[in-house]
Amino acid sequence: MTESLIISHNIEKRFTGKGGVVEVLHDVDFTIPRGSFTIIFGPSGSGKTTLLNVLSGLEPPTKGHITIDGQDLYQLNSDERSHFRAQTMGIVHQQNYWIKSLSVVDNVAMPLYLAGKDKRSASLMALESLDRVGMKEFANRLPTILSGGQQQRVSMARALASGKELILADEPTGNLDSKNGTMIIDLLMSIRNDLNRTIILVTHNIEYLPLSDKQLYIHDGYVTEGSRGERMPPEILDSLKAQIASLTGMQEGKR
Amino acid sequence: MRVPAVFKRHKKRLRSVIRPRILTYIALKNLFSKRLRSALTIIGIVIGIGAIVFLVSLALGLRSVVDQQVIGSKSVKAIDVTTPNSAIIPLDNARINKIKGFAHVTQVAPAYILPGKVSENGSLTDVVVYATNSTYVGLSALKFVGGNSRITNNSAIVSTSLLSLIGQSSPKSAIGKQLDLTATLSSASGTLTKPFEEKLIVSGVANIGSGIAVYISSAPLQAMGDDNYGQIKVVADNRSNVPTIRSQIAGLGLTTASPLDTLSEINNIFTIFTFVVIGFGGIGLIIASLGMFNTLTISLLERTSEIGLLITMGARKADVRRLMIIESLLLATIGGLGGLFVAWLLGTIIDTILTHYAGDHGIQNTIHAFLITPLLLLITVVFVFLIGWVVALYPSRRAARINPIDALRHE
Repeated sequence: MTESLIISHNIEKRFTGKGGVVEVLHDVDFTIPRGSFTIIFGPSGSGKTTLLNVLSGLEPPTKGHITIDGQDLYQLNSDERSHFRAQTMGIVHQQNYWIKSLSVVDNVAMPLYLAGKDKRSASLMALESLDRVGMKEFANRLPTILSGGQQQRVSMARALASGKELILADEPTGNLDSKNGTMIIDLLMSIRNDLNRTIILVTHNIEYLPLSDKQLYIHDGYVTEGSRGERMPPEILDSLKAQIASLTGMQEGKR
Repeated sequence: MRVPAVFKRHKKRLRSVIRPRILTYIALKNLFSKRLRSALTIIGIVIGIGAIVFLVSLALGLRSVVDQQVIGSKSVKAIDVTTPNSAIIPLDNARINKIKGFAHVTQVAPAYILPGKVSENGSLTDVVVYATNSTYVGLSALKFVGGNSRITNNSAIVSTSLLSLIGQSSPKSAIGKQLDLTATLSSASGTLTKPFEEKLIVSGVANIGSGIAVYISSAPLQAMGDDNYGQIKVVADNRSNVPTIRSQIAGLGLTTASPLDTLSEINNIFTIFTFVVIGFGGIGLIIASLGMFNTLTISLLERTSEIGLLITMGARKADVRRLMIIESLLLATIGGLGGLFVAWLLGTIIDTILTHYAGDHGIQNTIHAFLITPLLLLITVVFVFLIGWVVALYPSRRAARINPIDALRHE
């Protein structure tokens, strides 16, 4: 039996705002095996990013527990969670965020700096990581002058740099064309296959589903687990059909 | 669904892991990326610190110049003792012996002060005669322009003003000349005893300003049996013991004076002057500090998403706080050092100009109107660090409280 890296137990998340209480996640239970490629799939506004934020320790749940590698994440205070994040996980965002005054190599080395590495060894590891994503030649440039696809590859190198067990990618292909999108997904696959890292990819792109070992379908804050070869839950399928119908209607309306 | 059996608590205490050198590197990179803003902020600090150091060094320099002019080489451990009424409280050997018995007194040098006349080449000039010993002369800090300070039974030290009156313009040519001195010695009771007449050889010439005086040995007068001294100089072992000895002497009914009195008055005046200049310089510094605060706050607002990113990558609150504080300290340190350098440079230029100007008017001494003392340097460095730290307090706390999810949405 494959060992679980992440266990989500009874997670609930509510936001209270001026408009009242919004329940975003309901009683979310799942496990993610070590070394797996998991996709969190669902339509826009279904709670995918909130779930990823809860998993990364950035958004405490209203109720429930997240255990990563045996550590109950929210038993730690925010500084301890930061430290845990620095040791355990790399995050790739949909949008590219940078320390704009620093070069590509310094940006990639930043998680290593934060984990206490000295500049020389962190830079060497960052260069190795950049080499893996084919961006070593851009090491001394500023990241903001790179193209979207290049930036996303550097972002991937940053998540990989310190040899972290878990890579969380929040719609990393969302702002890319199909060619760059495919390249990023191929990179994620190779990271999983070659380095045996655990990948969690948030996406609403149905094309990527067959690549994953496990799926977490999310709809209106409810999560259903699926695995390779299993059929998609009907509510997700209905939601997709509705989206396709809506898009088709929009296209016809334009004509 | 498996429920985790044990929710482990992360017990290990977290140390600050990011290296200060790397935080400094990041802070420097950020400051450098906003060159104009950083430069303007630093210029503000340079002006603020520079103004304060310049003005305070001027106050210290002037105080030092005045101290040297007023005190000269007089010993601050010496006390001048006189009597308010020699008939009632004579300054005699009995009292001198009492003073010698006081704790912390190392030397007592008495002097007769007599009215006298000097005749040379038929001209007669009124003088003040100090009949004393070499110790007293040494403590009087006379500025010798010819000869030496040694007094023997048949030699005398004369003032430059006396030389001028008797037609001797060159101190060196006056050495070895003979003077006829007559003085009137009075007893303690004020009854005239007998005139004192001596033929003396000039052994030294001292500049005592406009004073017309002759210093001779007291031995002949003491041999005449009189101990009605005009003044004594008492030397303490330490400057800090001077007040105690003075109060003990005052207890004998005698009057005391010390160079410390003058120093104290000078200090009071210059303390007020220093505070006034600090006040003026402080206004500049407050404006510069506000500029620094403004720069840090704007920098924080601009970098909200960067700070959010740092937290998602594993930065702790303390790391974020330190990054802001280091940025502020860098601004303050560079500005502070620049301010010190500018103040030193300006002071040196002005001192050089003053020295040249004084040289043109016959004053050969180098003028140090600006004085940057080690204490001033130390206070400035500490002050600069304090400013850097205080200015960063609010922005750094605010930065540490940033919610990373909101911050990343801020982009």
